[in-house]
Amino acid sequence: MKNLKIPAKPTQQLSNCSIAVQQMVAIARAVDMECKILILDEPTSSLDEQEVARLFGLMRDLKERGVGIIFVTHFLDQMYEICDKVTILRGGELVGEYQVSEIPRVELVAKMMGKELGDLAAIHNEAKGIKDENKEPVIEAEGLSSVSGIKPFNFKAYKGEVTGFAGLLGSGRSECVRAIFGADRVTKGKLRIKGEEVAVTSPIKAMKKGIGYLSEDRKRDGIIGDLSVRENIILALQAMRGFFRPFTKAQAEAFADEYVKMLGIKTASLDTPVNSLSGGNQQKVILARWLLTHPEYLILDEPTRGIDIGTKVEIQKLVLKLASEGMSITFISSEIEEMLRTCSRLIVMRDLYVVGELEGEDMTQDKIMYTIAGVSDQNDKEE
Amino acid sequence: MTKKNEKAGNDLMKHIKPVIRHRLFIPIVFLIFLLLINIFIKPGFLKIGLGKDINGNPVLIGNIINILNNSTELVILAIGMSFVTACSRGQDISVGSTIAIVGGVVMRVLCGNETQPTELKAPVIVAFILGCLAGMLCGAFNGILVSRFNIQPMVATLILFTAGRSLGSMAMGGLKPKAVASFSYYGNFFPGFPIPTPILITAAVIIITCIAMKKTNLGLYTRAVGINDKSSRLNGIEPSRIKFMSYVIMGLCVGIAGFIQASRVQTVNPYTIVPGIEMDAILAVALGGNSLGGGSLNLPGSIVGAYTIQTLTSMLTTLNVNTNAIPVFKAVIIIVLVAIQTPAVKRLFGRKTQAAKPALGGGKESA
Repeated sequence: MKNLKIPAKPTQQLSNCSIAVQQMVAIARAVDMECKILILDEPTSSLDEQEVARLFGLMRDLKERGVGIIFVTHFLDQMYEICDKVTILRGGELVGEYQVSEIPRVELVAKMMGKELGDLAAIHNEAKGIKDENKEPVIEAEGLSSVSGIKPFNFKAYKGEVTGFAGLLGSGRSECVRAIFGADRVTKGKLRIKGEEVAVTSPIKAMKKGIGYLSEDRKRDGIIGDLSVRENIILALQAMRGFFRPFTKAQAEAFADEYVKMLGIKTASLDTPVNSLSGGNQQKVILARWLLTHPEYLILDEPTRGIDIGTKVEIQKLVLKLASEGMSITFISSEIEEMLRTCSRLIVMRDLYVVGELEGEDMTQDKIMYTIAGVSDQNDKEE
Repeated sequence: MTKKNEKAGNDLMKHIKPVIRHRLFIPIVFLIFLLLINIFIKPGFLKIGLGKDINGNPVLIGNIINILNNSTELVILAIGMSFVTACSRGQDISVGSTIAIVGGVVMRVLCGNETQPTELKAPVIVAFILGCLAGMLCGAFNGILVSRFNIQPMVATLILFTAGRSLGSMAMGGLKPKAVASFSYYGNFFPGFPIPTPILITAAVIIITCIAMKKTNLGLYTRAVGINDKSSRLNGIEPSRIKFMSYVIMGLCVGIAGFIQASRVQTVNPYTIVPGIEMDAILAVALGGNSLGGGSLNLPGSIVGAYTIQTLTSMLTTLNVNTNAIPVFKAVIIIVLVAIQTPAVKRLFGRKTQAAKPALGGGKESA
């Protein structure tokens, strides 16, 4: 097996080896079966650059020997480096199969997002939140990075402004906001909230500073399934209020009732377990939970994923309304149109790096896609 | 006699009706069922009389009183176990051994280094507080293992389960002291007061728990953490803190239970004290309709479950079942009881249960 140049002794305990070596051993096992086709599903997501290079060396080696390799990744650079042919899927549907050498990056990104280049559906400029440079930013991140592996980033959010993080899945959008909210342990950098430097080490600290975070994965990180709608709505405010000061049932009922009416949550009763509601209504319950805490800065991570069109539009409208009332909002979505409609400034990310910031006139689908793809463009802040 | 039974049954039925769809339905029905069997075997079962103990003090006697009295430890432990189960999705199996530790500490404080002291070496309240602290310390130990090191609750508590009884013996300095009679008031009767003290303590514990549930967010947090700890964290709850707290509460319950247990006979044999009570406590939680997989917190259910188990034990004793064979009977009955509460069986027998309901109603009309 050593002709695969794996830098480890056969007698070594595998768990002591680096993840790259572990990956390679797994590949060696596959090769040992004399396979004809090798499927690698995100093999590089936990590797550093050197390890990736070593893995790619091994993959080229195998290619020479006539092994077909299917390489699944969300890293565009790596795909261009190692692959010959690419199959693009979007939302569970096959978009197409292309020769890597023939498809430019921008087109690839466009295909992944389901947009044609130059498809500039008129984006209306509704009463979007405008950033006010003279004012102090609500949130100011400087060189922030966390255990999730995102590279240090700078970010500012102003009062009454809707900002967005754009990028492909896995590009580090959620990780950025999780670092701000203290959900992932911050390893480097500073965070200032209204000019005051704070160490946000846990979500409760961020919440007390007026930050709200509607998480990406509703089922896993959002709802608390078996608790009632009422309990789900008051949970965050209750946690902020403290352990020894529970709301009376009447108070909780009043809060829940108010927001159920305001957001039009369809539920049989306030005592209904939240997991028996539809996805859109569950999302509204979580939205209600955060609105109830009256945050100054609200992060909405994929708030419209997997919910019906009607609710989607409602949520978008609500976002704009809240911003016009002075709340600073960060809106993350995989649908570019949605971001263009709601956001006044976009932070663009690729492969865990912040690669650009677009606002005003620059905010077009084309520009976003060029930036994501990393193709040089006049205003790109490419590193 | 049959008429009398039916009448008693129907009176109780009226109380059940509002909760017929409630989670407590099955546990309560089973408890009543057991009580009815008891009445059948022993007609004077429900009778409560005023007797005199050896010192001539008035005391309440009767089977019900005995059951209420003897189930004290179990009820208190079941309350603690409910919290642990609900938020850490696992059980504390060290409670029996921890009672040995608590008992050891209490006896050491009261008797010092003598085996037959003629007086108490320290006020009983000091012994009680130190006993509770010992229990909470053990709970904190378990809690740290579970909440900080993410060890499975059963594995974490296995440590004290194994070591606890020896530690209890060590706490007493290897002696087996017996305290003077005045210490026995807490596990038996205060002279002149007819209600057994343990029943009063149980009532006090239940009332304090109720107040705690009303005045704090213990219930909400415990369930939230048990259902989805990741999500709870993102909502500003510290799951590890809540888990830790639940084990400390469990420890406090163990402390109270251990104190009562020590007081009952004024001596403690750490190797034989409350054998298998941890399993009874877990069963009480399960009987009460709480999911042993965490996330549900039905304290009344656990309490009813604890009384059910005690009723069962006392019934088997009345039936002159061999002491060694009691666990087998218990096991069989418990399997049935737990099985009928599982969703799978409920679905399977869905029709049968519905068919049974009119029969109950029919019985009522005939009365």
